Amino acid sequence: MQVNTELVRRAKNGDTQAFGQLYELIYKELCKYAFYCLGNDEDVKDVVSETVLDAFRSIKSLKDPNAFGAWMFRILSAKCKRKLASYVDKTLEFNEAFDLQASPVRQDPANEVVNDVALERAFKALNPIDRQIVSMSTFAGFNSKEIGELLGMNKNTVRTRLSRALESMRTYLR
Amino acid sequence: MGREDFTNEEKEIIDKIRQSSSNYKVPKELEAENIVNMLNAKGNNMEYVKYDNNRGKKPYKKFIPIIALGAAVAVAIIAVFAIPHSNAYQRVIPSLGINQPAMTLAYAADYKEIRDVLNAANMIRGDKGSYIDGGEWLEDFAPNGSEKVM
Repeated sequence: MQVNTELVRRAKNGDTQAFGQLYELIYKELCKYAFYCLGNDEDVKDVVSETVLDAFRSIKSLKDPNAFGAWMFRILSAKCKRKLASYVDKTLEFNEAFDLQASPVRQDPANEVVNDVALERAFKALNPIDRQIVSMSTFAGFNSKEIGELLGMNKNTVRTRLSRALESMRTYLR
Repeated sequence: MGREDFTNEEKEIIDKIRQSSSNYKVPKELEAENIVNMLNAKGNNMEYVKYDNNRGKKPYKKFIPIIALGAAVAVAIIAVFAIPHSNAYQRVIPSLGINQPAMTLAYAADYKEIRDVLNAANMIRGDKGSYIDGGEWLEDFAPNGSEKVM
């Protein structure tokens, strides 16, 4: 992703408008990623807000302006990982979030997150770590090595889990 | 970010996920304009926003620790006071400084005659375990017709 280096320079000097413009380039993907990991909008708001605050405070440590997107995803994925670990019952949380009746997202017809019910079910059938791996690969564009570094796993393990998760979804959709 | 090599089948699923996520509506609070406002309000004072970890959870989940604690206390009370021959009764009560013979006397409420005799004779004062361990001795004090204590 090509980023305007002038915007990064201004953001480093505390310019919130400049940071906002940088954020605007990637926020939809950030939110999708968080939603597919966590499964509910309330937690998405929490983790993305925290990510933005942390990123704004520490943007001076960003050396390569073109790495802004990846850097934001790294912060966000760490927060999603922590949030997943904090769930008392991760499966329940996610299932409730995707429940057709219970989900606040579903109540708004214009906000149909996963319009293919079968795909939705296939996705929610994955365990939380696999969901995170698939989301990282799909929305953040990370490769197995980068995902492995973020999740503390071997890159081959990540690749295997990613393949299995995608295969399991494909089987589910047959 | 480096690229990952996917098989055609994997690409197909990834495309489906991307396609289905295209309708995702970002929460209003996370729109760029609102994020800039949030940064203007909070970003410069270097303080973390406090988040309620219970947000989005079912209300009863907040009470689970309290209910669990209440249940544990109830079980402890039952173990100590309602099961006279349990270890809890035999060991915990004395360890709390409670006069065990007095408690065992209360337990022997059914043996009214014995209790009356013991009270009258004042035989149990300070004599730890005299009731439980000294069943035969107590029996001597039991009036005719009363049940055997131990």
